[in-house]
Amino acid sequence: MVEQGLIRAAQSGDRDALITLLREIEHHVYRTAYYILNNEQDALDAAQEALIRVYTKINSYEEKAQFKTWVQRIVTNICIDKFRRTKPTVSIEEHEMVFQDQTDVEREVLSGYLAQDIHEAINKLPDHHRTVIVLRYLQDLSYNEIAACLNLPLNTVKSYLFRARQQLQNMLHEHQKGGVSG
Amino acid sequence: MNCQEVVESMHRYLDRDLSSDETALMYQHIAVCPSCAETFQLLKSLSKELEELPAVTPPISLVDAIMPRLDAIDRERGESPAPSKEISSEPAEMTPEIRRPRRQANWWSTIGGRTAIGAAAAAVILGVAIFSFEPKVISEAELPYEEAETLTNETSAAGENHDAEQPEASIMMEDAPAGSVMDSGDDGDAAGAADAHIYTAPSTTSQDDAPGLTPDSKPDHQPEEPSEKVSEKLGPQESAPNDSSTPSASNDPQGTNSTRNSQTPGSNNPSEGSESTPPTAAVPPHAAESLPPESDGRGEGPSNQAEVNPPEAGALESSQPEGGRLDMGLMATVPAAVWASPDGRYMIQLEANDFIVYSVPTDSNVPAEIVESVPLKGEWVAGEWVDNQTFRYRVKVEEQTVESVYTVKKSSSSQETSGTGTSGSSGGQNTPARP
Repeated sequence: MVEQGLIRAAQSGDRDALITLLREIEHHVYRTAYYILNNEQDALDAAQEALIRVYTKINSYEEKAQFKTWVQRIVTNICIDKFRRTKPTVSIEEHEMVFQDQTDVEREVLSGYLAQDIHEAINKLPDHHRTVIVLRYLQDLSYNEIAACLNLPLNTVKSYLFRARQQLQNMLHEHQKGGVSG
Repeated sequence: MNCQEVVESMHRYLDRDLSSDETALMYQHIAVCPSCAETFQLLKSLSKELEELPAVTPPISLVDAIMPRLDAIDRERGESPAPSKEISSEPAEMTPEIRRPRRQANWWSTIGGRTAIGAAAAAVILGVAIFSFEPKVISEAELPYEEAETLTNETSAAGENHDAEQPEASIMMEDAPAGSVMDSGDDGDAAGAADAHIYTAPSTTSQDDAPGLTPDSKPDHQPEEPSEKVSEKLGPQESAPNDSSTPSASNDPQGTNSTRNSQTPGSNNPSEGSESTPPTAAVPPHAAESLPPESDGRGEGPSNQAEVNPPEAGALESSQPEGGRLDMGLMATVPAAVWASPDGRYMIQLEANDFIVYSVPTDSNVPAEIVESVPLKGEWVAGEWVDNQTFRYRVKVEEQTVESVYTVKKSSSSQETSGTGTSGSSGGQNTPARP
């Protein structure tokens, strides 16, 4: 991950160090935004906003927290806010329809059919469940780290994660069944 | 361990949160529970697929994309001087190569630039202070003209006392132009250690102005707002008598002035009128007046020469003509540090190194006369009229504030004016002996 020395240099006013730091984290930030928002343009906007926030708030980072956790907390907060703004009241049906529209475009971005299924399934998860899944699998964070990112109790994180996985499994299982039968 | 608990263990296992003992228990259950075994397989499969989700990357460099915004943030933070302008002028899609060097420049300027800005601000403040200070002197400067007429006799009569006194004033005046108004106090330090000096200044009420000095009528004309009144007074006065004389005075070579200094004012007076005469008390204010930039247009050449001259009597007088010229232009614009006596008959104007006591005539058309120029022993602190004739002031001498009292003594003789200035001493009032 990111060197502590680089962070300290950035915090002490070394702008080049800070820029280097941003370059090291930009892919992580984008990846989280992309999977939470399920939209490239939204992900770009959110990731840039997150990087700018890191740039301006670097001095508020304290070493008692992990830097990657601090960064992911920033980006997930931005994504959740963005998601609430853009999709305030989306019923499941509407959500699915939106999702269908996006499928063709994004199918090419994703590597395989299975991954596409999972991706679709992830997008159907409630926001917090999806966010937990993203942090767990795309950022490889532990329960504690996810709890720190989302400012949630540890048990809540576990609960979200277990339920999210169960929901995914159910969706994929039905999909697989459908695929086999159909 | 029931199936529900095992499922939770499965999740924790997938999240690497399960201890080895718990893992063993879970496997034991799975071994005997086909349902849980199937669930476990599905979960493992799902988790594996999630871990293999493609690591999407942004199509562009996000850092490069936000660089302009970062630069803008830097500018807003660091350089308050011209942030908005730079931002607006900067195209949104600046290339990073351009930005970096500029940013470094900004960084440098935050350190060195702020110092420069601070220095500039200090210079501006200094400049304002200097100009606002000098103007005070100038506002009253016009008075000397008229005075000069009346004082002509004094000058000649002043004799040795007068000569001795003026050189000091001239020196001080020379300092003033350099803006060392505050520093000039040092000059005074050597002069006076006495705590209280009482100067008795005979009022130089000459015969010409005598009628105008009637106390009753004066209050109306008190120079509460010196600049305005002066301008009003000057308007008519200067236009008539001074116009003709002003140009001539400005052109006067020093030699002419020095000639006057030699106590033969009468010879030049006829043509030049009031201006040539001021050499006496009027000199200090004039010199101070020559400082302001506005004066440059008119009499820079002569004025500079006069100032450069050694503080001899000749030098003093040579500078006077400038004062006369300057007055007309400067009077209206410059405020003055002036204290009017309660009855309005006298007013005191602070100069760089001394203060000038004026006798205010009742007739507004008649200019105030200079009664006396009292040298300051140190840096001016404050002053106020105690009564109609007594002016108490404080100067700072070597970090100590010394209070002095100046008392205006009416006298018909102008000679006393010069005498009183030097006669200041601690203790009671000294009334100069009259001839």
